[in-house]
Amino acid sequence: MCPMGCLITVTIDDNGDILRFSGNLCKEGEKYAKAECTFAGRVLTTTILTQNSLRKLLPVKTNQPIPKEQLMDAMVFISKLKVKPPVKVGQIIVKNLMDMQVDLVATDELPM
Amino acid sequence: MESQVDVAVIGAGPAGVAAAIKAKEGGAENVTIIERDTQPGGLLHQCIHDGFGLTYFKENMTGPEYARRFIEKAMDLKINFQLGTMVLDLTAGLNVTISNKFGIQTLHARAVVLAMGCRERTRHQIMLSGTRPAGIFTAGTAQRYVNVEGYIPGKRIVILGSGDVGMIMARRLTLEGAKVEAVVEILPYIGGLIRNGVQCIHDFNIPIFLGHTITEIWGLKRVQGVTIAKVDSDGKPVLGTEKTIECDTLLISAGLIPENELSLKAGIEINPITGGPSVNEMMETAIPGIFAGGNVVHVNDLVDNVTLEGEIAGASAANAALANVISANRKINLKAGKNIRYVVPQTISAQKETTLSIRVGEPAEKVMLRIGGILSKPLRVVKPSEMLRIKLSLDQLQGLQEGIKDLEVSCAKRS
Amino acid sequence: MKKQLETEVLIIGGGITGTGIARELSKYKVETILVEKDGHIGSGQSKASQGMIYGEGLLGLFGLIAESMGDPNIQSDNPESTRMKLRKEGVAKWPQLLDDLNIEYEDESVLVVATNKNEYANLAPFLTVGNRVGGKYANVRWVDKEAVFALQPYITKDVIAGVYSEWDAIKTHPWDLTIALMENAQQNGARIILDAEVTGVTQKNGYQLVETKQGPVKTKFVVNAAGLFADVVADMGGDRDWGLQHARNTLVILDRRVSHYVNCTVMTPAGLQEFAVITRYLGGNILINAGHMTEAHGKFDTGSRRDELLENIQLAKRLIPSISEKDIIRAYSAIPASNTRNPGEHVIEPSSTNPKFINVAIRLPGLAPSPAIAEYVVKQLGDAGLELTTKSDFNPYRKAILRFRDLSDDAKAKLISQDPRYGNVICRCETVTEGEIVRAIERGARTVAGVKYMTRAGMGRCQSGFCGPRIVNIIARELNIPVTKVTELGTDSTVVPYKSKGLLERKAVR
Repeated sequence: MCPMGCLITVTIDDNGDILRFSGNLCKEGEKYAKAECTFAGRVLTTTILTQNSLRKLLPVKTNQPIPKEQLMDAMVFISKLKVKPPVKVGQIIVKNLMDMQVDLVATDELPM
Repeated sequence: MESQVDVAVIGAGPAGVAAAIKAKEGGAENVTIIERDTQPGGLLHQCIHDGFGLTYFKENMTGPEYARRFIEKAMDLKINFQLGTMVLDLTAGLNVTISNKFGIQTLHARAVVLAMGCRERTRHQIMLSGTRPAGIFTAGTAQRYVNVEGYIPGKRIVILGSGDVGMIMARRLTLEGAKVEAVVEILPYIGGLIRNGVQCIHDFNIPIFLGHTITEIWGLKRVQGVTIAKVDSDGKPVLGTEKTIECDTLLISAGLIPENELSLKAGIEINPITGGPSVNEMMETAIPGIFAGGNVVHVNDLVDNVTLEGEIAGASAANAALANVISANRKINLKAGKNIRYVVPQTISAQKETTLSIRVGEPAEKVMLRIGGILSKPLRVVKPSEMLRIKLSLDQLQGLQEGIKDLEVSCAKRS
Repeated sequence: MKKQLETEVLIIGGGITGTGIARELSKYKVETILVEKDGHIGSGQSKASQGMIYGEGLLGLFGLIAESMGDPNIQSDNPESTRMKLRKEGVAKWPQLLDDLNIEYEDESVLVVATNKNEYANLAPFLTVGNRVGGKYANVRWVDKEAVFALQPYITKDVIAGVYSEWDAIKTHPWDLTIALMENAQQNGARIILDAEVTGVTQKNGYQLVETKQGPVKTKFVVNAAGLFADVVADMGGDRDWGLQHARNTLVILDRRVSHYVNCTVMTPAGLQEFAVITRYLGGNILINAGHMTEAHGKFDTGSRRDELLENIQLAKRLIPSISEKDIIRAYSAIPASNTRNPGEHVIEPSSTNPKFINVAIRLPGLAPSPAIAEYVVKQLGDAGLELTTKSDFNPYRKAILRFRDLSDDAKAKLISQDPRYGNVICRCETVTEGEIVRAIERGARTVAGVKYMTRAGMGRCQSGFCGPRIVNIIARELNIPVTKVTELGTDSTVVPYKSKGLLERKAVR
């Protein structure tokens, strides 16, 4: 389903090549559907536990979408981390998260 | 203790901070924001997901990031923040009584901006049958626990309501390791953005029951389950379609209500359709000197629009504080016509460019939006969950006949 | 390991009866422990009533009429019955007690109105009450349509006439009564254990061993004041020739914003099939007790059903047309018990097979007779062998509870300068401060509900949507327990059972 609400059906042959689109209203839909089939990416927004801070959680996000199949694994990975102040907005908390060429950055600050 | 301020802003959420900034930039010297939480930002702090700022900043930001832009600007402008402070009273004479750990203060303001936002509709307000165990939360309160306090409300969740808040919590709780057993929605379609339908429900294979409602809550000490049933076209449960879902938590996402307790204290009448004060295009309420912006006036969909409303309210408040009288000698009432639930502002002067926020009543396709005789706009799709913002230029407004008192806004199907 | 507790009298149940008895007993040199199954005092029917302490006025008669299904030939309650005597005594004792315990109350007027011919016919018995009973009820009078409108501007225009009792009852918040009685009892040496459901009683040589979920208690005497569960507990202590049956009625609380809809109790002279009693609580919220009396499905049937709420509002609208379901902030059902042996009476007697086990299974109305029942039970304990030596240092007074919202600005400022926590408003809807919440926990509140009934925090229109997380944090901090162990109502009702990331720990990375 595309962001406009059209339900797009994609027919794929055995090689994974796209044969046909149906149900989309515009060219954007075709592009979107193609992208979703080859790489359905999602920006992950979540929180990290903190240490030595009055705030119990620091909100973070991936600075690029990651494959949606990796979302739960990423959550488990992040659940084991703890972050200490000071942290500024945009600061990289984890570089190259799980080798996906994507960084995990702070979306709020953690003052001392 | 008493003190004088030029502009007092109640609430440091997106509307309040934006209002304070514009008030300061508009020339008001002493601008004070009063906020009950210990940090500014309002609900943006618990909205750790993205989708904010797409129109205002042309960036895709998370709630905290969006809030921080404005908070930093407010701090640069040396706006006073009174955090951890509750407004106890507001009078029509613009006296604001506040309480915090330092004591009680009365601020005598030259202008006030109401920016208290919304509260959530509760289980009792929607008359859900059943018991009152622990484990029933409104979606926003659950969001506060998960994203700010650091606790997960349960491990088997049912969510009533497929508005954006409900869907976002479905995803959030799934990501935090809970199992969302069902999302139950009374209408035959999703209440929020399609994007959320995809990324929050579809992505995680969360069972969603459209055209259903909850007919009973079970559990004496803690929630043990809910019974759901299909509804007919009147929204009434259909006998024989009941299904029980075991769960330990119920999240209620049944809509927001503007928080106007203080507005009532000041004697401001609340519009029964919007739930907030009626305002003119300067975001001024019926009481001169008291302005309002954001969700306290009507429930918005996008924080970007909340910011814009706050800005108008703040700029107008500064004008009032500096006694720059802007005489709006004309007052035209905007009337909600066919398929229009409400229009904000409710009155305009037609003497300056004005943006109207319009909410339709029902979803429809291929419609014509008409504003009096001065605007006709064909639209492909309209939905109640997506507010329309229509700018009326000075030229268009000047096209209005002299002596016109009412202007009807309608949204009928195109023939 | 749970310590073995010992006492002379064990009271089972922290409702209006149990706490009343505890307070009465605390006048004597008697070791007393009260065990309550839930996490807060007055958790059963004692908090579910409309909070009226009434005797034989219009409210008293209403109950009778309701029970007799609108039979115009009803006789008043037999004034010689034990129940009526206890009620009369209780009503006479309450004013002093309310003042001594610094409980908030108001005198309440009652207006019975007829909006149709049937109701009009039922008005007659109400009018004769004043003459029959006299005393404070002597001012009962007929009011015609104009007079009714003058008294109640929001009343329906269909009103024909009414009967007005200028003084008919004392209005309180029912939970205030149990809390105050227990606090004063504790001040005078009584102890209370919460979350302590009784699971069994064994008679031993010279004492009774009562098993509770907080451990066993060795006691000489037992008072069974277990309210809805008095029959279950009675079985643990011995034989009984009575059972309990539960009626059920649905109550609705309205937003304070519409508190002006009534300014005294307004009701219809109806039978059990469609009654409506509309009261305004002390705090300003309107409470509507309306519907048709049904039978409860068991002892836990205190939830609400949508169709009953709509019926409740429908009947209320017949009196006050402005009332709307849009203004509902809370709803629940009361399931008052009566005994099967003689539904018109209380059961207050020792168990036939265990003379030191006193069963106290009372019926409506339960608030009014409480002080008299307490004295009556203490006398029975004395007859059963309990030594009753009065304490010379019994303190009948409880200090007034501080309510920030009721103070002047100056008084507020002074309070905050003494303790800054009183400046931190936690519950926005009811204006309750951190200071008051901490104080409630010091006074014995252990749960969110306990804090709620002691302070009103969470009783407002947002129903703790805003203050909930803050109250949970304060309770955890003050009791030095993890937030994940804070409960709503006591055992098995934790608010937020898991810490962030706690559920993910159980998932392995693929």
